[in-house]
Amino acid sequence: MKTLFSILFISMSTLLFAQEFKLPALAHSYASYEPYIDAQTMEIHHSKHHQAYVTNLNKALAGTKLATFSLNQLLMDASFRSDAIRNNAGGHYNHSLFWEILAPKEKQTTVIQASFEAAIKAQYGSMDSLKKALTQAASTRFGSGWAWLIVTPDKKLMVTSTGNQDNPIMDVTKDRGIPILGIDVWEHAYYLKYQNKRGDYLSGIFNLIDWGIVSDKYTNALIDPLLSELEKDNWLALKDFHKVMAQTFHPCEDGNFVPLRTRSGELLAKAILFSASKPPVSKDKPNVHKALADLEEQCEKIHELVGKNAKDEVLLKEMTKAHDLFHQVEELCHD
Amino acid sequence: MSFELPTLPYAYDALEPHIDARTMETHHTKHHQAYITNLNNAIAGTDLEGKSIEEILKVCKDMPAVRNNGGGFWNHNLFWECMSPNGGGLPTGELASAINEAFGSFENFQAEFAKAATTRFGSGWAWLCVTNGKLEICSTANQDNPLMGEGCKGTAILALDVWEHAYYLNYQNRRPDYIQSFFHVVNWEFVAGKFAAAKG
Repeated sequence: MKTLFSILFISMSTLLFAQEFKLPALAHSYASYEPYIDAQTMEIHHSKHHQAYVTNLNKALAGTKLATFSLNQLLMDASFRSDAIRNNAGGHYNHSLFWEILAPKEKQTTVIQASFEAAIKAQYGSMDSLKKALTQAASTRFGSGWAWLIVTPDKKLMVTSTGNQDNPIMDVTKDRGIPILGIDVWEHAYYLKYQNKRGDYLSGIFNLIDWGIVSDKYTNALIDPLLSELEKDNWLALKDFHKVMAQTFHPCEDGNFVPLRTRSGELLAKAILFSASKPPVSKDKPNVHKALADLEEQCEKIHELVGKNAKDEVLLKEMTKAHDLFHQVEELCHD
Repeated sequence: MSFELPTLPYAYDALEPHIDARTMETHHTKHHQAYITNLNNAIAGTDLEGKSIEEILKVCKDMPAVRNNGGGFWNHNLFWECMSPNGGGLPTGELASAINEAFGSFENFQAEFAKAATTRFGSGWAWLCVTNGKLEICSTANQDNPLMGEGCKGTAILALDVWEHAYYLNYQNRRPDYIQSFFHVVNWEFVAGKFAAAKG
């Protein structure tokens, strides 16, 4: 009976939470960002580019178990996700933030919290120097991407930039934190009005950044549980192992054993590093260490089998075991 | 001897309506010129000064300024030559046979090349390359190219720029429309010449 209830509960919550992502409405009209951003750019950027990210994200998630995930969950484990999810989830998050922090001058919130002002002063000396750092990050990002002001897990401000639609929540980026300000430097953000003159677009956009909203985002980020999630999520050895596991095991499932036969040594090396690595505090438990040791042993067995030129079906069976062990580690980590 | 902006073999408006004159002019005189200026600055006074661009591209992997601007210089040089106001239509001769052999038909080739160009996320290029006498399609990010030996290899004989600056004024978010238009201006005679030379 209890099981039946939980099945019912799970399927109901799946129904309840598996809702599609939606394009957020802009707080101001397309024309109200003139002359710094022209109405045509705003309209295409919002109704075409952002809409396409939303549509393609929903398409990529439809019918998968990820359909119930929050946007933050999808972003955090970006290295485990398909390109379609990484790119479109990023595109949706990044643009949603961008619209929120932009406002025409007369509509801007002027209240900047004292704590935010103090943080800027402490780390950048002045608002002008912070703007300079942001401009520098935005103008030197080669190709498509974003410049960011983020709150890092140690509650500091940091200016950084990412390529394409990646962002600092993702585990694929070096500088992680919660973005409180993003500047889009894809050419589609400015080309109709500024063409190759990205610098002019950047000088213009500072007239539209609503620092009152950025200030509120700073205050919220400091108490956002996501911040401690990001701190815990820096177990690189797990990510490294998972990458090689995925690149060798999944081809086996499709009958291609070449990657495994050529990389079983590398898989073992990553398993050894994984097993010897120190898990983040919340995951540092005896059962995790036990599962890691089993996984290492299993990878050693596979490497030996490859050395003895074992048959495909034997390798598939042993790799399936290793894969299950890996997921056991992962599950133990989800407390 | 520093690198210089090549003159286009046709007028800026010659590729209209497929590629508009303003895009061609900005692309050539601003974007391409900036890559060249920045490349010359990046190699000035270094061991790379005086080397050919091909030699430079083979060793620039860990030097972002050289890699990005050197790639930008070389890629656009090839891109301009791949197009012509008298272009479009179908390839002929040996190149046509090689395309049929590698992709089954010209239509299949077109679809596969368009797919590589459409699915390159962000900024980058789509390429048709010759590797060991065989034709292959691939794509690279930003201003990387097959000479740098990552992702794509071989000799590039056809290049398509899919940075937004290559099409945004005329096509905005409609990259697939731009890609279809490109096929109306491909200079197959030039591509065939590159193919013959690459095959050896």
